[in-house]
Amino acid sequence: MSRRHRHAKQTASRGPFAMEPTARGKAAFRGASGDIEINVNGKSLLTAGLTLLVLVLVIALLWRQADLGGEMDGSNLLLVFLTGLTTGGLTCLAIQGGLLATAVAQREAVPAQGTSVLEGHAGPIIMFLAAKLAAYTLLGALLGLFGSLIGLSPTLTAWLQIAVAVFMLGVAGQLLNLHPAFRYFSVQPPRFVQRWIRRESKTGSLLTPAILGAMTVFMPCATTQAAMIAAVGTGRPLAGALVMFAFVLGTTPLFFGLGYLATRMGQTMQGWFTKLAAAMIIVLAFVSLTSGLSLLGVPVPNLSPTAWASSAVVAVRTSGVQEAELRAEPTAYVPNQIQFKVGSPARLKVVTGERRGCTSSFVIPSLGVHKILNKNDQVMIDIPTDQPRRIPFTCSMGMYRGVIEVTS
Amino acid sequence: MIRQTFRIKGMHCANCAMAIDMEVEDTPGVKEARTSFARSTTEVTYDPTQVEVSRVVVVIQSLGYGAELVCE
Repeated sequence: MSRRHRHAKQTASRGPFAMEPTARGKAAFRGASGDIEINVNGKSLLTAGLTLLVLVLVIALLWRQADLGGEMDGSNLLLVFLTGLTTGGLTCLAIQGGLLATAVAQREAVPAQGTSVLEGHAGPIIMFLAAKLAAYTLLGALLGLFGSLIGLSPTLTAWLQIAVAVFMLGVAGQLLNLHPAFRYFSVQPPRFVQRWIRRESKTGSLLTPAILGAMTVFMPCATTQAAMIAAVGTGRPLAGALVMFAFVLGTTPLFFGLGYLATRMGQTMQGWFTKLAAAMIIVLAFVSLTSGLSLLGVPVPNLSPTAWASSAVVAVRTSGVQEAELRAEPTAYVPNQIQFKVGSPARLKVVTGERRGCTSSFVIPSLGVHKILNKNDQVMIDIPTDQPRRIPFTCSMGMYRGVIEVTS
Repeated sequence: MIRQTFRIKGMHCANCAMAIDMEVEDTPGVKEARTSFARSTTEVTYDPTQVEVSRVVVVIQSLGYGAELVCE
């Protein structure tokens, strides 16, 4: 065994790994008793940058093209991406950075066979991250499929979202180190997976970086676990896959260079970064919680920007029946406040246009109404007007909301 | 073989626990290490004729974590 290979082997199982700047523009994953240097030269960075750009373009196209049945829209995915970019990258770097360092070290131990990018220093990093992205996207699809198989009713979705919110708050508490009890929100990978990863990390095959990258799917950090629950909550394979794709894509830049910068920023800045990440998780938890409560019929304030765009509309009376039209636009219900009078029968007409969105899955929790509309569709719903009341309505994810008021 | 528990300080996620297990189990004389992030402890099963308890502490400390033997 060459000295270099032995060094790599020795360092392979060490942690925690930290990326540190070294001379000549290199970044190094530092183990406890040795360094593994990864060349971060201009060519590697250019390749990495171009790969990221292509991935971002792909996800942007998917956002525009994919009909997700309205369960997940671009703004949610952007939030998931940003969570990955901040929190996910940081919390996942500890051990996955170690695995990446191992993958690179094993390839370094094998004499270079050529000069192409995949055979150079950037190769193992790209293979590792691409395999990781693919594995998590597949996992997201499976989680979305699982969500659809267990038949997510609005009530079950609501409780799942509330569970996600509690879990996220727990993760935030753990990140902020509020109390040791919050550590129970972190799930450790099973023993057999730990042993499998350890065994694989000691071989030096060409595919090792890709295999190790894919294996990270078995060792999700706390933030990743929250994203996984969100993927189940979408109840659709494509939406679940996109959630995980956006999240893991967000974590990717850190593996390329942010670790390098973070170390330069020092411990104080890293601590600040973690607090920022925790704050973002709390915001996500709040969104999930309000959505869940809304689906249970609990009146919660509508904080989305579109909430202020439309005002109350009073139903018109035609041949003794009150009737009001509600347009389910892709990102809002217009109007989001409708008034009927007590007494005469009332009907709400919900219509959709050319584009479907989250809103096309329409729920009135208190009346047990759940209607799924197609493009250019409409549905009539009878509204009880026997007494004055407020009847909240929402999309099936609790994201877009409004209220029907029956007044005297 | 004996089994002893160590209290660990400085772990910030469950994967730190995994890193400790991997490193401690690579130490000759150690049969098994089971680290719990939630409880901040490591249970190490080892052969006292091959490895001393102080060696286990040093291995964990070399990873950047605090480690001390819990008296049972």
